[in-house]
Amino acid sequence: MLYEQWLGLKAEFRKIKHASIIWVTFIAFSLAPLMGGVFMIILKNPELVAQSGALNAKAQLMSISANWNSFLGILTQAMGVGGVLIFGFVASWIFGREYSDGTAKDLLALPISRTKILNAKFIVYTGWCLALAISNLLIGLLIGALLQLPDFEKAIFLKS
Amino acid sequence: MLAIQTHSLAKKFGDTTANDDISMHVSKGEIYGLIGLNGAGKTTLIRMLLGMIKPDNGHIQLLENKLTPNFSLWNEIGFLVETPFSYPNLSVRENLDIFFDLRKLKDPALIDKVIDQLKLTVYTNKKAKHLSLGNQQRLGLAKALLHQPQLLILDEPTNGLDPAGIVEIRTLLRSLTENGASVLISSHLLSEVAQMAHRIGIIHEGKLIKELFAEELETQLIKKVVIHTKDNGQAIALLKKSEFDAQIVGDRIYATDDKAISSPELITKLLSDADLPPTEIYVNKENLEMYFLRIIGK
Repeated sequence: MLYEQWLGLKAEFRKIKHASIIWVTFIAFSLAPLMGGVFMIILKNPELVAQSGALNAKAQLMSISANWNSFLGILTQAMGVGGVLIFGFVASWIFGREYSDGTAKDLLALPISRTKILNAKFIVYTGWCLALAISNLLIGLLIGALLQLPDFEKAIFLKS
Repeated sequence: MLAIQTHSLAKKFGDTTANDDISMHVSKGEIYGLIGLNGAGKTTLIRMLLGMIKPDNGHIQLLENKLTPNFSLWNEIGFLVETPFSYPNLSVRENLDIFFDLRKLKDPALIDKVIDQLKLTVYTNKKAKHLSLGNQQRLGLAKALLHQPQLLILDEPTNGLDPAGIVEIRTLLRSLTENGASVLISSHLLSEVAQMAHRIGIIHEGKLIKELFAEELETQLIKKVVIHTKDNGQAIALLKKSEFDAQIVGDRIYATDDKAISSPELITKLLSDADLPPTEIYVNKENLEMYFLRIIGK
């Protein structure tokens, strides 16, 4: 039984192995920490503010300052908004493409049950979205470290 | 042993009756050709046979096992439904790899074998979206044949193939049945199926209206002697007097009895002796298209 699930999963991986769409989703998702990084630079360097008035106004409106707490806050919000779009996109790619490519009917009369094929798709979906979220966090941590944002311990440990 | 058996299958989509009371069977080692116009119900029947849609009434047995949601012999069945689609960004081999996994196969040589069998070797690493229609059809057939099934259910398998490809598939299917496999194929061309199938079923407006053996087909075709003379009126009177079954249609005389068809020279002699030599006389045999249209009443 588990073997069949593994085979279904293997088939699913074969389908995405060469898909350039994977990299597109990762690039799209890494835009959020990059954007957050830009805000942090602006707030850390008031001399830049004069040249980017609009962004500064935006940063002021969001009432944020250049520290880990604000930065992680931005990432969380970006994940919420961007996640709805990108996670939805991933789901429609994994499930919807079988219909738009006309390949769905080939999956119906097989020795592996339809449930297992669906399960394999859900597993790939979960893994893909989780990888996106983790990549977002890692890029965020990297950018934050490069910018030498203050109050790391406070943001991580004292908030909750 | 019966490869396929259906008992009064029926399926409606809203008010449209797609299949109505279809009882048919396909024996082991037999190629059964299902013929019908577009929309006659061929694909609906095939989809029901593959468990893709549920019949409203009746039941199906595949390889002597009742078709239920728990049917376990799918690895003995290969299929191709309508236009075969493959994963467009994957190569021929990668597409087959997927079905190798999903069919729980163990021997990787099967993939090479089927690629070779369908003459796809030069396209092995080509992406499916770059294949010609005929080669996509071959890939579809490769997916159906990969696991060397006992029963093949193929919906218009020769679509998009060139004449050489059609002959090749015909030979391939014939050789598979010689090794004990059974095949159900559908087509809208009787002439094509007549050369391949052992038995033919004609489906029209959801009903199976005729079943016959391929060799019976010849005897079912209407033959007639077509005659033209300078004076058809006099000629037909003469023919009727000699007990030929003849009638005038347009400016030709049609003689339809067995005697006329087997010995048209008797008519030539009769008319010549009466100083009415035929300006035209030939035996006309109904072709398969005309036969098919006659059977479905068009």
